[in-house]
Amino acid sequence: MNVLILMVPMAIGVSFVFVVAFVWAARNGQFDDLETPSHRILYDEIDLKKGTQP
Amino acid sequence: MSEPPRISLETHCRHCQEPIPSDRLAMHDAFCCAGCQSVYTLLHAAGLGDYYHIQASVPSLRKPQAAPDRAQDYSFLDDPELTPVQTSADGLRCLDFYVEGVHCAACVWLIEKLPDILPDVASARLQLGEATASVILKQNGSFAKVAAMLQSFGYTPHAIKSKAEAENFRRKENHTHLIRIGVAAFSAGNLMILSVALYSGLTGDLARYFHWLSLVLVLPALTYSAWPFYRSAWANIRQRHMSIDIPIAVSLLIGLFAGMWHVTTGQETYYDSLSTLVFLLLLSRYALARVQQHVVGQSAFLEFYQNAVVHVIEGNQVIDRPLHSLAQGMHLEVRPNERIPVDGILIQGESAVDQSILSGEAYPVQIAPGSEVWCGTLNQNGTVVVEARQVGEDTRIARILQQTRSNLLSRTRLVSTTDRLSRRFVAIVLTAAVLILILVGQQDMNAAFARALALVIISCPCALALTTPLIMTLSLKKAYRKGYLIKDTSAIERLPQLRTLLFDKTGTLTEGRFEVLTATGLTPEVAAAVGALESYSDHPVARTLVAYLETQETLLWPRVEEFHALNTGGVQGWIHGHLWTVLPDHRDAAQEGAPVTALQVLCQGEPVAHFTLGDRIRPEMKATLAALKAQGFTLGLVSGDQQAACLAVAREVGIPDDQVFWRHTPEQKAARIREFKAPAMIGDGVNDMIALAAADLGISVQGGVEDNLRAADIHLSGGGVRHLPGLLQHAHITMVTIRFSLGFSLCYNLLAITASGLGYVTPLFAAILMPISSLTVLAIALYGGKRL
Amino acid sequence: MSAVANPTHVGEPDTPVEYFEYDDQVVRWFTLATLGWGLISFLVGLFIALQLSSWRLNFDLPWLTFGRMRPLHTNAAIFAFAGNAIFAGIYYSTQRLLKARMFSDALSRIHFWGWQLIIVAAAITLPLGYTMSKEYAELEWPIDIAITVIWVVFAVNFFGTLIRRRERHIYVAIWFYIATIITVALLHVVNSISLPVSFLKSYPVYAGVQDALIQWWYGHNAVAFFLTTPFLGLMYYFVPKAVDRPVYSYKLSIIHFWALIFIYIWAGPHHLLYTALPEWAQTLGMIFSVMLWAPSWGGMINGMLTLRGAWDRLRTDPILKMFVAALTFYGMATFEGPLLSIKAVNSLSHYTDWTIGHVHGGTLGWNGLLTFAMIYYLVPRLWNTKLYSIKLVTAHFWFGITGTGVYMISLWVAGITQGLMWRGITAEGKLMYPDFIETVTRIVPLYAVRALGGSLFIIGFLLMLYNIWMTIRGAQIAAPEKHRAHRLAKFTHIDAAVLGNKPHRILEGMPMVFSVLAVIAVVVGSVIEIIPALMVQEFNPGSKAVRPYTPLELAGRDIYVREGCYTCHSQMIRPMVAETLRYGKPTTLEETQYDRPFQWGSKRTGPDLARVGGRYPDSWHYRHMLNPRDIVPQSIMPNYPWLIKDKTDTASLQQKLKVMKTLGVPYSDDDIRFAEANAQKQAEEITARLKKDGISQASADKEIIAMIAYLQRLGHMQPTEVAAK
Repeated sequence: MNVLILMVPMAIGVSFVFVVAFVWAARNGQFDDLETPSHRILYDEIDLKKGTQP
Repeated sequence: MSEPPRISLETHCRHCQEPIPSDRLAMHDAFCCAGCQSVYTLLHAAGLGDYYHIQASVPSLRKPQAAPDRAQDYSFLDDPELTPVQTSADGLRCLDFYVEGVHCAACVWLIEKLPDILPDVASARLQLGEATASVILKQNGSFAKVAAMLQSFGYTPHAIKSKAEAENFRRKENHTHLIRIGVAAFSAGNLMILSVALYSGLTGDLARYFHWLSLVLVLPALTYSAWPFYRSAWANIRQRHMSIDIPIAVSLLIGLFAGMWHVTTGQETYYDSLSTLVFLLLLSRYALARVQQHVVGQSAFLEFYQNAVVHVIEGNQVIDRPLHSLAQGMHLEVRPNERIPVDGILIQGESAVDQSILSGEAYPVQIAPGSEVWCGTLNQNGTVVVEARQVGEDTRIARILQQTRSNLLSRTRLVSTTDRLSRRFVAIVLTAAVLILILVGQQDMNAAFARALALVIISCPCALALTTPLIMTLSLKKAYRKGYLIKDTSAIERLPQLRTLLFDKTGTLTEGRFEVLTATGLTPEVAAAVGALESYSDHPVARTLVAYLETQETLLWPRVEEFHALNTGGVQGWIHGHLWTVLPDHRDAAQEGAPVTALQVLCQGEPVAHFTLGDRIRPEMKATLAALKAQGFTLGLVSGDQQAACLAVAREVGIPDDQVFWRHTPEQKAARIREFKAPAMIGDGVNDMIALAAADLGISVQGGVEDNLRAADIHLSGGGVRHLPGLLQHAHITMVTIRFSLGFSLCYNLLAITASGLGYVTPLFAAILMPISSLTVLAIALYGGKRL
Repeated sequence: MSAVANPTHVGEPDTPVEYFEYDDQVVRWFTLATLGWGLISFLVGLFIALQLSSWRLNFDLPWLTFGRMRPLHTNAAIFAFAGNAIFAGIYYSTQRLLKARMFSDALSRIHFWGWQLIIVAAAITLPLGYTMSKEYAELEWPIDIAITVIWVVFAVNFFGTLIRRRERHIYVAIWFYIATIITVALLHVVNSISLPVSFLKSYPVYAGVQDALIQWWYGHNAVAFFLTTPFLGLMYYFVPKAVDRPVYSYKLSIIHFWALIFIYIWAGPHHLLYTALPEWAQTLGMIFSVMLWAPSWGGMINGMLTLRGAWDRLRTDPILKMFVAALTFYGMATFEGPLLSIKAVNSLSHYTDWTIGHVHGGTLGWNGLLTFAMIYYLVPRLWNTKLYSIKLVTAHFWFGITGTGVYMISLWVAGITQGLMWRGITAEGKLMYPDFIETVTRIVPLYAVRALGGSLFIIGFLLMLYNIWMTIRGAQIAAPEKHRAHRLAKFTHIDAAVLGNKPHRILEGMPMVFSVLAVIAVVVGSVIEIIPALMVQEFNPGSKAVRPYTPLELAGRDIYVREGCYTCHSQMIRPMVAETLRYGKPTTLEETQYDRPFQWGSKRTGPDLARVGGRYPDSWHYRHMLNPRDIVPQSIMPNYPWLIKDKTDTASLQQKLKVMKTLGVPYSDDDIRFAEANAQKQAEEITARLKKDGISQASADKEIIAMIAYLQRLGHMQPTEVAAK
């Protein structure tokens, strides 16, 4: 079972990496607006077509 | 995106999809108004025609707004003195707008395409939930152009200036709170793994290793994440004020240090329970804070009032400026349907002003040069010029707001139920722990310490600290959905304690509008004649009549000859050879300030028709107030209006005469409130603000949420007073649920204290019991929340 | 095509508008690769399903036997089919979500061709018997290294794009991709660490229970981070796109992500319930598996409710139907998973076909249907055309869900039937079905039904291939569309107001690089620090009570591994009455301490072999390997005639022992020096015994002899027992 001495710190290390990512995301304001992004992706590819007439 | 727009039959406006008025429809117009047409054309010309496809594919309750009649001058946005903006080192400038009218993915798309339309815009980001757009400009860009473009899209942009700092502070606090939650989750998650392993029987070297690892893992949760509890507990201790945070902090600290000792001796720690507790507490508080922020600071709207645009006369020019740039002595133009932005003197023009915001009187007041006008009152007809005497903080309305604030501050702080309970609770727990140490400690100090520790951990006031915020969060959320906007949780606690309900009249029990209540003898011919006659007058009564008659079936309005206004207040003129007269009818209104204004129409001296005008009582008021009375509330009415009007309304809705108070200034209202036992003030408008703040509980029913929630604790949108019984019921259920869950956890804790004192509870057992009790209480909370 | 589309500067240089094109070429390639490898993996799957219902389909050819084809099937399905689908979806959505072309076209192409080469290498080496025998990680070390390299290429390409993004917010799908890339890298590297013996043979550094633990930590997370997180990311992108509606609750998707990330990594030990794994580790695995149920369903419900208000479109749009069916199967699989992790259920279900049915509910239903729906969505957009036939998609949908349903139900019945028969005990306390073969013949018809389900699924897929081929045949791929976006302003609200214009913003821009570096640091640090500890085996209790394998046994064991015997035979007797009655006393941890790799297995198509040693004479094994039906007439095991023909590779034994010694197995220098001679000696003893039993043609240098040596050793680990023999 001594492989756990390897596994446990690694798993904790992975969660630590994700905690760091979480902290970065929170500080970066990634969680400020949890509504608009879901709308934003829907029409991201529609570009301006200059001069289209009605 | 190739499908055609949803409305193809063109009975609805191509832009806003409202029905097209019949006259425009007759001309095969595809738009409901010129404004919409111009937005539509503009969007297509800019290559943004896809807006409509997107719009058509998104389900949305709200529709795009029609464009305003005339373009606003936003040039003040580019004046750094009038509109301070954030500037970056590389010369970019940033300004936030509250954008009225955004509603769906199409709006997101459209507004975020700004950089493609205006090359000076570096980026535009819309936050849909709060309807705020952050616009970043390059060095030479113009915010005025941005605002004008937004306006031409059919939105109403309001620059948000003074908000930025507070908003960013709040945002930063939220970030920190989130990070604390994340760190606690990290600790709790990993600790749970280690602890489950240990509880499941892990022994030996690996167990020792896990113990030490637990100690390392718990530190972030019990130091960084739990910091707010220590801080608040310490502050409370210094102020000699009891709060739930004190037992929490004590439990956490005892748990931390006892755990350290146990790590070195290889015994169980409670680190998983402690870190989970920190995580859950932070999470429930975050949820509650976010709900409150959502209700109170739902938008940047709060501050936009200060950023309203006024029209300053400089020489021969009228220049649009933000409100806060005004100074005494300036001359301002005030257009119809705009609020007067200063206290001052009318120097040019005539109009009527709705002063109900200050006086509570529904009946508009005529103003002429020389009249005094008040900031916040609504100009109705006619463009006037006002000289500013008092501006900003010195205006009467600002002073009222000021007094409101001090009233709110001086209101005795209500000790929350949980804080009150936790005071007793801590006393019991600490006494019990000391008793155990003394009694058991005489035989075996080690055992005594273990039992005392188990006691403190097991009775860690998890339920107290956890369920109340959770139930409150649910309660506030549900209330929000029902249309009750509740500012904070203490309002819910206070609601069931109320004994007296005092109502404002105008706008609260009544609609707050001057309108035609009854009309008799109204043939199309009479209607046409009266309409024609009254359209010559600017008097508020005349305008109300004309507006009413326009909705009635009439003949074509004839020409009036020899029109003149009578001294008695009536009007007279010749129509088709007949003399028509409209006179105030004093038979109905024997006293001054009658609830209604009556008018008599005479043709050739013969009465042919009769009108009454007044402020209509809102529907269902009688039933609502009767229900409240049946529940044992003392009802009262307090108003700034005339005696007769007040009494008439009071009698109509069933408030006894001796509880009716009339001609009260805002300040007097507040004084009156204090005479009652456990009073709530239900009102609207600024004239009630001081009273709202002075009462044990202020409930506002009309107007802007943001303005009202400054003074009131609760705002009822939509149904107004009709929501009141529902609101009381809501608060009742909430408090019952809270009491029940608190009662459960107290019983549970008492049992636990007894058991651990007698030594039946090992620390390990305690650590397992604690989450079970939390879960039980959570289940109660969720079940109770469902009944709301 | 240049690596990055040339940005055209408009206005001042501070925040220029940039024009760019998405690299859809690599998406097209990955899409076609998905379809191609999908066909192969499905056909191999059908083939091995038929082998189980009809043993003759093993054709007596070594590289066509079930034991070698089954790893080929699983690897092709997971890494070739699902892998290419993930890459197609990620390359398509990442560019659009981040508003940026992939970081480097060269890396994209290296990634694509590298991955295909790895798959080809797998498809060649696995049938040839080059295997590590760790499920879903069978590939030998050179291919493992290639996978690592290509994965790093992918990671650099992905994180490079992330850094160069023109959209500030990182959409939830991207978070799922990030988790996939980081975690898969870690799991793959840790699980694959092994010491090479030769170019295509290596021994894992972990042995026995440790190997098992690491393997199932990996094995479960292969499911979690290769078949779940990336597909959830794809779901969060493609379902809203296909429905034209924002995801039901974006907030829930974010919470779902973080909850999943913090729990998933710990569910692994549930694969080892009732094994020799210590009780506490099993409990741990069980608890965390059950906890997973909540976040999984959070994701499923969120995906489903995205269609609220658009349910009517399900009737007309088979692609949406497929998305919904995929989510339904995800919901079923993530409900069934925790259920199977509960010890009481697991005691019945483990080692039976129920597990296989569960896995296929997930892979066919969730991964398969989601992939198909995604490809149907993508192909018309990628090839600038319309789908050839919607009717065929509808037909595919029905074939797909019927096939998956038939598959799951047949194996569910088979699994429960067999599980109940295994544990059936009479009133006298004897096994109700003492002959294992009884429990096999009973379910063989269900294997045929399973093959029918698979066939239906494949028919649907063939319709898809035809449909896609007709769609893209003659389609004119449009010139890449030019998109424009502003480079992310260095100045934003948050930066300016909260952080100020301080230099640490530069670091802020590279959080992901930091994450990758951190993982690498953790891995390298842990490995350097821990590996010596593993090798010394300093606290391995009872190590002296077990003797290492003799050289011949080791050679036999390597043949056992090569033939994939573990795919049908477990070597782990669970501590339950029925099992001890049938096989003997429960397996202990010490017994497997020299097993590199461990051979506990995960499925019993045949009986457990942990204590088969000494149960039958050598000649029994000889005849049984040659033709199992000579001994057990109803057996479905393949013949292994080549074991009698082929010579045992004794030349490498010295090297093998040397590697084992490095890994901590107590071989003396003499053991290594005389490895070949010792093997020869033991082989001749066995040959002599065989001759005594009338098998005169037996020759000591053949593989069958080594195999018999190994099999007879199983369950006899003590030095004294060896002496007695």
